[in-house]
Amino acid sequence: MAKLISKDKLDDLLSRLKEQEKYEVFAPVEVDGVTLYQHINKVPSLEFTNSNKPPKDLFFPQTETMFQLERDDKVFVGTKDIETSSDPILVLGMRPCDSRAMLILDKLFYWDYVDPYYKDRRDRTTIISFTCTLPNMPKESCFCTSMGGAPDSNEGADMLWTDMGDVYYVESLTDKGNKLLELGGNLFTDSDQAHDSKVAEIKVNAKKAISRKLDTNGVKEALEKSFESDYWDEFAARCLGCGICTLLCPTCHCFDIYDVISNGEGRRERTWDSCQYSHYTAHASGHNPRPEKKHRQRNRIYHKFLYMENNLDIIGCVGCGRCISGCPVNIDIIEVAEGIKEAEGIKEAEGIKEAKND
Amino acid sequence: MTDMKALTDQIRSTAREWLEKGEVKYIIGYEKDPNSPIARPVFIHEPKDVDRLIIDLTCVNNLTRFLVDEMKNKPKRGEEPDLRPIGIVVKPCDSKTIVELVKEKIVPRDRVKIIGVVSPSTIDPKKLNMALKNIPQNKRKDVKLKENGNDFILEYDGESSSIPQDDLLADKCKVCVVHTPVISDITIGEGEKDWKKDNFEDIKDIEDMSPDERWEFWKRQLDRCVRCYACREACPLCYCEECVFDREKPYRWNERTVGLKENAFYHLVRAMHLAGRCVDCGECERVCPMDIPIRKINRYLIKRARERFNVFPGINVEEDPMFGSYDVDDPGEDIW
Amino acid sequence: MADWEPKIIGFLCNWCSYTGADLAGTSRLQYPSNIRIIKVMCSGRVNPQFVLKAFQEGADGVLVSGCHPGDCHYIEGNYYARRKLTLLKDLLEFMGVDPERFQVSWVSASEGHKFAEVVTKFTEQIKTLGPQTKLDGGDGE
Repeated sequence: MAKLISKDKLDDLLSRLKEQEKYEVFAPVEVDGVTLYQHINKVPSLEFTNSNKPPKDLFFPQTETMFQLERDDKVFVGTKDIETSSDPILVLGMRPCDSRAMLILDKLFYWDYVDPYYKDRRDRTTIISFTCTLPNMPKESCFCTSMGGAPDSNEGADMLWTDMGDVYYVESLTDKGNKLLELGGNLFTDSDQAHDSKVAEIKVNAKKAISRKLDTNGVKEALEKSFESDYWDEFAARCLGCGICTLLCPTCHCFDIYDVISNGEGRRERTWDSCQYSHYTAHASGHNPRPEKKHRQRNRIYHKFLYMENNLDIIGCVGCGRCISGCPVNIDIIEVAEGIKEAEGIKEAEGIKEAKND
Repeated sequence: MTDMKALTDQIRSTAREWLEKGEVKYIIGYEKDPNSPIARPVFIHEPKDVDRLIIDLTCVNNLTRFLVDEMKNKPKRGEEPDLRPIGIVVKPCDSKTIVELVKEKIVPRDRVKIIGVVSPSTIDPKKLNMALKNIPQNKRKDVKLKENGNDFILEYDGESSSIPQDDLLADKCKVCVVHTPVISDITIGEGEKDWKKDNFEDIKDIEDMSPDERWEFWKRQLDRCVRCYACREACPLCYCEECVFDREKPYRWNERTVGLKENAFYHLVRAMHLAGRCVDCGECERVCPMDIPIRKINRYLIKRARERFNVFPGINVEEDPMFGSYDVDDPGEDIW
Repeated sequence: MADWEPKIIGFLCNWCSYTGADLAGTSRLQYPSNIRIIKVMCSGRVNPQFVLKAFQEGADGVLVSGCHPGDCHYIEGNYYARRKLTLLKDLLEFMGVDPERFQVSWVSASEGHKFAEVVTKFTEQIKTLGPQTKLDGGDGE
């Protein structure tokens, strides 16, 4: 049974959650023109397209201390675990593509070795996904429908809310979602026929508005054959090696672990790393198996469309489009996936158009 | 009003001539992106592909960045290196970068053949995004942009709307004083020869702040930095084989932690490394995914270099680099 | 904090300033001991990164001292230092970090008194400014 909640009741909901269960709430907030997930005490304006930095930052922070070193006068004698909290976390406002990305990250961080830092935050988090609705969303670079998602996908979310003007249409999908309904109590009202059919219309319109499409059939086969192809030289010629594609990607997860000794204190930290950086696979011997940018860009495509599928049975791209809009030289992952198929003669590529004369 | 079509045609015919005669190895230029309203870099190796080249208001990249890559390329063992020059299409700001690269002997003058374009300006893609907000997003890549006096005309789907230049023009173009290429093998287009005076109006807002306000401002901006190093990678003058921020041996200068302390160190050091060299091509600010106004820092150092040492980066190839030279009478009034 | 003592890092050039500091010592001149001296061969060797790193690690003030212009042991090293370090001071000011925390001085080998004066004056200045908490990840007081 779907519910409704009026927008002016959201602050009340927040207060109840904080007072009764000490929820830590994060939502997308605009700061100087950039949308970032931040801790909030009051509900901000939730009209956003998508955050610049993906929400994986909430569970897998860009820089995270793993443990601290304990000092005894001049010597480090042991390690001290970081204190963690057990308060529940609420993410108010993730796009469905990002929620699906959480499922991919879950498969990864809970795979052969359960990452305790990720797990600690993830297990106590409730995710409220917001359906992508016109006119803000979808963006011109979105292609979630080609990657198994949709503007109204409920995968990875505990609740799916749809903006209907002055109310949100609330669908609870899991126990965690139901818990929020309980805590919200009378702030949530039952939905009715009118709202039910309007929401269906909103969702259909959003889906229709997705303009970029990628046919993933055949991409894996093309990649299996094309490791040495000349195609990689062409499209990566203009790559700058800046790493923006990997930093903004909601499923990228590489990190580097190192020790920091500073000001007499020591800690072990991990920070996001990027396969696009030149020293990513640099060996201690000095040899670098991925010396050129084309090797590294090729690795990114392979990882998303082949390796993750082989290892985790899921394509590592959710179609959020951040790498496309963030790339300074207009490298477009849809164009590359279609292009490699065409290069291997697998299928007539639909995405590539010859540049036309004006 | 600039006739972009005429400029495009001239670029194409020059490129065709150079490639047919084998005078250049390949040409770096701009082409239309099928999926975006902004043009993208292209490498033309064959004369038959020259019709992909264009020049218009959306050609925002600084292509000289790729010249540096070329210079770093080592030929395969046993192969003779191909020392033919690289052809490149440059806007006036990019041509200043080439002056710096030649000055610092990174790109020998005879290894580059320059098609200098007198192009009026470029737009800021982020501002274009804001302006296109009301256009259905599947139509945005078909948007055509034209100049009309002090406005821009956006044409799409048979309709058109007018936008004041200020709302779309890149910030660097608003303060640009050099409108014709300062170095080129062929100059395309007619342009003003007088240079405007630069009053550094764009950094006045920071200069007018009190020291505490300034720190608050920069603290807020630098906190947001994700250290993607896109500013460094996009900058044509950041060409070190191994950047100081990537070094672990013999000493790790900056921890990999992403936080205000390390971010401030990175930006301050990078600003010092570019002092006297930065020509304000604007790439650093354009590529930043977090919209940090990095150009302001470099602009301030350009201003101070000019005021203190009469240094104008990117204008004169014969000049010595700023930190590689000195004047016995350099000012040092605040030295005890 | 009544008992806070500033930490000041000094980069002194070997031929002039370090010798000048030595002369101050042998002449038994008093100057505050907050300064920790790092000897470099020439003030021109001082990389702006050294200064910024010192601030990052918690220095409250940084002093760079070299030969007088025209008297550099290596002829022109201090001319380059003058260019680099004056611009560095401008940059610090633009970012909102007190430019008074960073000082350049010319002290020759025979100026033991001047060295003691410079250090005393600089230490007083830093004491007035208080601890540096901007570039070391602190709160920015």
